[in-house]
This record gives sequence, structure tokens and C-alpha cells, in this order.
Amino acid sequence: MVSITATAPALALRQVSHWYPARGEALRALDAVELTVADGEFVSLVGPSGCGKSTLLRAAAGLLAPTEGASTVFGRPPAAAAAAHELGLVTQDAGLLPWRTVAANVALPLEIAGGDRRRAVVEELLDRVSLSEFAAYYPRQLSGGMRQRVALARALAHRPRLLLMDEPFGALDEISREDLRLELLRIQERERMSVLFVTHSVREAVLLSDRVVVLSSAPGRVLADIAVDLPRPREERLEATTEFLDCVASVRAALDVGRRR
Amino acid sequence: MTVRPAADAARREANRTAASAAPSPLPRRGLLRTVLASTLPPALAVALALLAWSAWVRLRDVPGYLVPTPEAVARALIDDPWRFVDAGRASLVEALGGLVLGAGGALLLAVVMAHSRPLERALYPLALVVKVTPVVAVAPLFIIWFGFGIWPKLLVAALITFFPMLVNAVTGLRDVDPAALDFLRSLHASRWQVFWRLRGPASLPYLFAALRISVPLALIGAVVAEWMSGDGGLGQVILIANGDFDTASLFAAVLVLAALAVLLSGALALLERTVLFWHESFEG
Ligand SMILES: Nc1ncnc2c1ncn2[C@@H]1O[C@H](COP(=O)(O)OP(=O)(O)O)[C@@H](O)[C@H]1O
Ligand SMILES: [Mg+2]
Repeated sequence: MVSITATAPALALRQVSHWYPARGEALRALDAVELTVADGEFVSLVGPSGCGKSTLLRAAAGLLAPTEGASTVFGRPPAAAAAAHELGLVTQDAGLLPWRTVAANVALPLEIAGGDRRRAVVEELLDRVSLSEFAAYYPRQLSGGMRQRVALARALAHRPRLLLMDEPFGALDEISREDLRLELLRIQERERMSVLFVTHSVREAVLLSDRVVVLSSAPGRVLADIAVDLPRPREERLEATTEFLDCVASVRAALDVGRRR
Repeated sequence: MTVRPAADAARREANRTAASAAPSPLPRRGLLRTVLASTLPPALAVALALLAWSAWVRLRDVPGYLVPTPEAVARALIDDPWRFVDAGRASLVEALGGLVLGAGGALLLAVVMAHSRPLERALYPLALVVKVTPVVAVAPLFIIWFGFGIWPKLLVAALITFFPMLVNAVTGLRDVDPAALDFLRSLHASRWQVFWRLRGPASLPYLFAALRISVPLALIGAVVAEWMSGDGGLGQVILIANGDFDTASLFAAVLVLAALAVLLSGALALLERTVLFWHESFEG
């Protein structure tokens, strides 16, 4: 069992299809999706809106049981991974508890997972997302960008091995978005946790990822799986290089193929 | 580790200083200001209403057994204050007891219903039966079943506070931020953990809304039951005053009842302010 978990990919979706019940015939959201995220790999998922990205991510997190196929996290069903506190989740809505301070929100997973609950741990997490001074604030006193930072710190608190992020910066202004993007980049390059990252920004996907997976419009199918061979650690100024732009172009081309169908 | 570009660092600094200018822990308004702001306008309105009432009775020469002057009502209160204090206290205890029974029972049932759609569907019609049962129809029955004493009053007060609390509590326990719920589920949080950390706190604004409705209802329930059994409380005062054509005492009893309702609602509002400081309805 232990040897299986050591070699198994962080995330594997095998022939995952999903239908949502709808009036008349069921609505097909995913069509036989195959997807693997290796241990320590950063994979982005892009695709037109409504193509099933969130559905896929929810299936990976065990929040939704796909109609067909199965997903595994480190070789186990997602529920087992969740029970082992191996999953970290960040969604577009931060989902913070408004009656808790920033520090108490970040400490939430430690309460559930029974981890190290010392104040120093929370302080360190807040420091990582540059929010040390705001530990005593309540969520409604924060800007959208700061709330997403808290959500990120909270998702990292229990040291998950797989981070699942569904358009985490989607509702932010461009400036906060860039800040957070770089912070995520630093954190992931240091800690090397596996990440599945849903975004609709192609540049963001290329900057952050080892691989970019392109989904077709609904029902979502994997159209392309593009490796991003850019050196790490990555920096913002990489975005001006031809290698970067070539990569962006090939992702865009794959997206266009999907749209034309 | 790479160096962050200078422009980025400057931008972050700007963000930080802008945010630091905000007050640190949530600002809370002073208690005295809160109390004054919430009592002064209604006190003025009441004073004006009393003046208008007095003037109307005098100018139109309305007989005292139909509508007493405010002065006659005041005299009834001053002549035998303990009668009203004792009656008011009895009604208050019954109303609060009934509220604890009714709202507490509703809360327990709501927790069950919020966790299971089939149970909700099964129990909701029964709750509706409780809701539409006219208090005046069952109060005499309660007296026959439980005799005089406090129980019939508690039960009537409980009966009419039950439904608002049930409906609000079920709604509140369900109305949780889906993103917060997803996060807890991704941690494999137990129902118990989700309840104490998310559903419970999230339902508090709904519970307070229900209490705002239920507090006056509980008082009415207690008084109606007293009025029917005729043993103690403001309901009994009203019953006797009615028989004696002692309209001044009747009005005095109603006044005491209204004062109790205002007092309880005020206390509730203060409690709400303290408990729900994080809620957007208290944005400064
Ligand atoms: N809970 C649901 N019930 C019914 N249909 C849904 C539900 N969630 C999503 N869908 C539908 O499934 C499709 C894929 O949705 P989603 O996974 O949210 O796409 P994306 O995240 O790529 O925008 C959409 O057509 C959407 O309307
Ligand atoms: Mg989505």
C-alpha cells in the first residue's frame, strides 16, 4: 500500500464522463476525460467557459461522483485522500468564515485535521501570503485579493500534497491577480506540491505550469496536453521571451480548434 | 530564490499602506450611543401619540368606560402598582419559558430537518398543522388537559413561537456559503464539525430574525392563555377589568404588556449586535 502511494501520480482521472440531470435529456459536462498530474507537477486546465472545468475539479476533489470513470489521488479514491488531509482546495469564491478572524480562518484546517495548531504555524502561513499584519481582521474588512490570499494560506495550512484550484484569481483585478500569481509560483516552486489549476488566462497557465491541458467546449474532452519547457524558477519577465510566447500561441491554437468544432 | 521585480514590490507596498489605514479589529459603536439612538425616536413618537390621544378624548368628550384618558390609565397604574408588577412578571416568565420551549424545540427539529430532505418533507406538514392551529381553539383544551397553573400558558406561548423559529432555522442551517462547505468537505470534516463551524454560526442571523418575531408572539400567547384560564398574569388583569368596565386598568395592562415587548426586543437587539458583529447588516 505504502509503495503504491509513493509511486502513484498525485491525480489520475480515467475515462471520466459526467452527466448532470436536466429537463429532457441529461446534460453532458465531461466526455471520457483522461488526465494525470504527476507528483510535484503543476498542471493547468484551460477551456471555454461552461466546458466542464469545475466539474472535473470537483470530481478530482471527491466533491462530485462522476457518472462514469474514476479519479484517484495518490492511488486512492479522493474521499480517502480527503480523509488523509492530502487535498487543498481554493475556489473562485474564497469561502472564508465571516465570523472568524483571518488567523482563525487559516487555522480551520488545523482544527479539522488535528495538525500543529501553534500560533507560530498560522503566523508563518500568513507571512507566506504577505498578510501578517491582518491576522486580527475579519474577512469583510479585506479586499478581494486579500481574501484570496487568506484562502490560499488556509488551503496550505494542513500541508496538502495536492492543491486543487478553480479559477482562484478569476474575480480579481489585474494587479492583485499578478501579485497572487507570483506568490503561488514562489510557494509551489519551494514546496513542490502537486497542483491542478483551472484558469481562463492562457498566459497565467503557461507562466505557472509544467503542462497545460486544453479542454474542448461542452462536453469537455481533452483536446491537447502541452508541455511547458520553460526553466524554473520562473519570473515575470519570462513573459516577454519567444519561448513563452510560442507556448502561449500553441495553447491558443488548441483552444481555437476546440471552438471551431 | 529570485528577486521580485521592483515595480511589483512597490505596488504591494502601496496596497499594504492603503489597507493599513483601515481600523484594525471591527469597529463597534459605543453602547450608550446605540441605546440612545434606538430609544429616543420611539420615546418621542410615544409621547406624541399620548398627547394626541389625551386631546382627542377630551375634545370629543368620549366616556371613560369606552376610552380612558392617558391620565386615568396612569392613575390606575399608580394606585395599585404591585398588581401590574406581579401580573407583568408572571406573564414575562411564562412568555420566556414558552419561548425557550417553542424556539428550543423548533431549533432541535430544524437541525434534524436541515440534515435530511426526506425527514424535512415528512415533518413539514406536521409543523404546518401546528402553525395553522388557532391558539384560541387549543388554549381551553390545554387548560382542561393540564389544569390551571403555568403549563397551559407555557404551551400556548411555545406553540406560536414554534413555527417562525423552525422555518428560519431550517433555512439558516441550509444557507451556507457553498465555497466554505466545499472547503470543509475537501478536508473530510464530519457533519458535527460542519455543524459547529459552519451551519450553526451561519444560521445565527436567521435565528435572530425569528426571535424578533417570536418574542412579542410569546407574550401574546401567554396573555391569551391567562385570559382564558383567569388565574394570574396580565391576561387575568384584562379579563377582570373587562368584566368591571374598568377600561383604565385594561389599558394599563396592555401598556405594561407593550412595555415588556419593547424591553425584550431591545435586549434582543443588543444581544444581536454583540453576537452578529461580523454580519454585513451591521456595516458601520
Ligand atoms: N450542478 C449542476 N447542475 C446542472 N448542470 C450543471 C451543474 N454544474 C454545472 N453544470 C453545467 O455543466 C456544464 C459544465 O459546467 P462547469 O463544470 O461549471 O464548467 P466550467 O467550470 O468549465 O465553466 C455547464 O454547461 C453547466 O451549465
Ligand atoms: Mg467553473
